[in-house]
Amino acid sequence: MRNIFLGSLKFKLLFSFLVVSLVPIAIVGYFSFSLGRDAIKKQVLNDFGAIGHGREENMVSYLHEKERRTDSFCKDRFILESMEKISSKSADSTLLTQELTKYLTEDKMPVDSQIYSIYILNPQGKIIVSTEKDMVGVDKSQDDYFINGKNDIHIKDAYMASSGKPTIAFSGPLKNKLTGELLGIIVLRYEMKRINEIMIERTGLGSSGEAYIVNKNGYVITELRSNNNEFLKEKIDTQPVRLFLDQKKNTSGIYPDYRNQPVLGVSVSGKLGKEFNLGWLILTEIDVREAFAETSQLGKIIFLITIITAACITFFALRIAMSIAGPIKQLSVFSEDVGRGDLTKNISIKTNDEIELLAQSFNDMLKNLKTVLGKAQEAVNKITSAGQEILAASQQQAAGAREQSSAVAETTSAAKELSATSEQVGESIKRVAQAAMHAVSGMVKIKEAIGKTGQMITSLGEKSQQIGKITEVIDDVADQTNLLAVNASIEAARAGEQGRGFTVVADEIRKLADSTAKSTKDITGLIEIIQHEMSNSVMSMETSVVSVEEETRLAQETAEKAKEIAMATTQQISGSKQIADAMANIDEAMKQIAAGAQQSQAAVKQLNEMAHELKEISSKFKLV
Amino acid sequence: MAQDKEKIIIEVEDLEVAAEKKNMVRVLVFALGAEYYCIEIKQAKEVLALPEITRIPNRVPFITGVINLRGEIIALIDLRYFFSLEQRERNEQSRVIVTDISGSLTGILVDKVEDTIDIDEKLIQAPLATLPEKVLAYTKGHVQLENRILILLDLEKVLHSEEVEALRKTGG
Repeated sequence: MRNIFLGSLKFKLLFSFLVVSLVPIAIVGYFSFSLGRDAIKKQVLNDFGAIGHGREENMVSYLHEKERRTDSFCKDRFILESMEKISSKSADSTLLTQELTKYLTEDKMPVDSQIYSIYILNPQGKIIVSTEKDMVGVDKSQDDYFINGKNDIHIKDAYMASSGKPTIAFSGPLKNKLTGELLGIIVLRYEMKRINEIMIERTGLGSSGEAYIVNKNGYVITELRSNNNEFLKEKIDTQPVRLFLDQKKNTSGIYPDYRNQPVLGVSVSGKLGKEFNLGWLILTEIDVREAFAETSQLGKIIFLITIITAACITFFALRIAMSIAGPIKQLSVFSEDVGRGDLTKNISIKTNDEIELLAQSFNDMLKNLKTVLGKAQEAVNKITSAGQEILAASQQQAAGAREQSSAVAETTSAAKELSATSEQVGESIKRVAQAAMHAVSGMVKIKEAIGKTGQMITSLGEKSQQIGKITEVIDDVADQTNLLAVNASIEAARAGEQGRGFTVVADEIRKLADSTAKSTKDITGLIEIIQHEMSNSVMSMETSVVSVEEETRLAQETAEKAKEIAMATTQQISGSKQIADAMANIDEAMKQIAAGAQQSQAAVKQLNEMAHELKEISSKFKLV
Repeated sequence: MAQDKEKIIIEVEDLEVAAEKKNMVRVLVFALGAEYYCIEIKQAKEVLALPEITRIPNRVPFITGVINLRGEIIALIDLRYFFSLEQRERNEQSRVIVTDISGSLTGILVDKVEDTIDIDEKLIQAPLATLPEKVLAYTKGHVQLENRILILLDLEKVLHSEEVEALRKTGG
């Protein structure tokens, strides 16, 4: 999202004003500040250089003074004579040393109150006389002041004496005036106090300035402000010390000191290096903060002025910006409304300038836009409704086409089925016709057969009637036989015992006649049944003949009808084939129509969607 | 079949043996309507098939007419009339039993002549009381056979009845 504040006209104006006004101020301020700072730096460095040199001078004069004193001690007659005696062993050495000790303590020590002890070493390096008695006899042959003090006055660099005092020792040779023979070496030991006092003198150093000495090994040998116990313990590893130790150079500038605080400092070593072998470096340093206190004051003033100026400029710039940006903001808000589609408002700006003109042309533009959008909305509404109608119509069309297509497909399959069925029917009908023809001929044969059967049955009936007549005759005979038998039986009975055998015969005859009569009765019954059955048969055959005739007629009719049906079926087959073909064509057409309808539906859907979008877009505009 | 015949013959022989042993009476069985009657075979002389009957004018209805039997004219008594039974049409089964009990030949008209059989005298029982009075008057008894009842008529009594005697005396 765009930063509305940074991007706003107001801010831009304000920023421009501020840049235009504050940049020069800042440049001027910077330059004046840095120049002042440079000047101050130069001044401070000069001052501190001078202080350093002053301290060096003091130090040199101090050391010279102590050298001269050492020298005078070396040339002291009493000492020399005593040492000659000791050397030549002409007198009692013990007494001599006692006298010498007394001399040194009582006559020489008070000469310089800063001396806190004096040693006299024999040429072999052994202390033979000392103001500190317990040191007598100590071998100092390896000591620096012995080795280097044999020929000339020598200063032993500051060291921590065994008594625990920071000490600087001056040594010088005691020589026979005549022979120049080395009689011994005198050592004057001074506390570092005086040197310290010279260095910690605060004159011209301000509140945070300090001066101190670093020996050739980099250790500080005078007091530091921050620490009282630093003698030979604190190694200073600052830039000037390194430069001095490595390259014997003096420096002046800004650097971090032993506390790692930025300081302005000067290192001085020239004279001390040249005139003595000490290799000391005098450092004078002041905290940057203090040194540049004035410049920071200046900086504060400049900052204050800048702030006030900026405030003034901001105030005026804001006023100007408001007067320009206000109407533009108004316009912007208004055009945002318009952008959101609210076309119902009007803007009125009375500033008598180009912005008013802009507002007016905005109003005009809005009016035109309203008109155009009104028409557009109307058009879109119409398009939407028309599109929906078209969509509905094309959907209906598609649905109709699909239904029709399916109906056509059904019809086609039905027609095909019909065709197939008709073919089957045709086949069946042909068979039916053949069967009917067979039936006709069969019926004729049946009729003939029935006729023959009827004749046979009729003749059988006649024969059975003849049989009936015969049985009647037989019955008659049997009756008469029976009668005869009865009469015979009667005759036999009348004949008495003689007739008995005859009775039996007569009985037998009668029985035969009876059974004959019975048989003839049976036959008669059978004949009656036969005749009855025959007449039934004849009747049913007559019925059969009628039915056969009817059947024949029907079969003939069937055959004729079957022929007709066969013809009709053939026609139907070709007809249904034509229907199927036609239906296939229609189906194809319907499918094309359906596809077309779907395409047009899709197109109309798109159109509708577009119309809807258009409607949505146009409906975003509030016209009234 | 052969066995059956043999059986029949054996039965016949048995009957003969039985007839010899027992006191058997041979009777002629005839029918009047549904009833079976019998007479002792000695009372019958002949059985005739229904001959041509010559009607004669007479006063008694039980004389049906006269028939010509081998040149001899004999009177014919309709037994149905005589017993006052229900009249019936004559048919080809109708028979005439010729008897000479009364000394002269007389024809008795019956519906049917069945058979001549031997019956044990012991089986002859007293006349059935249920018979019509006219019939009962001329009945000797009855025989219960396996499947029917035979009424034993006394033909002599019939021919010597008042009606027949009166008729004989008047015209013979």
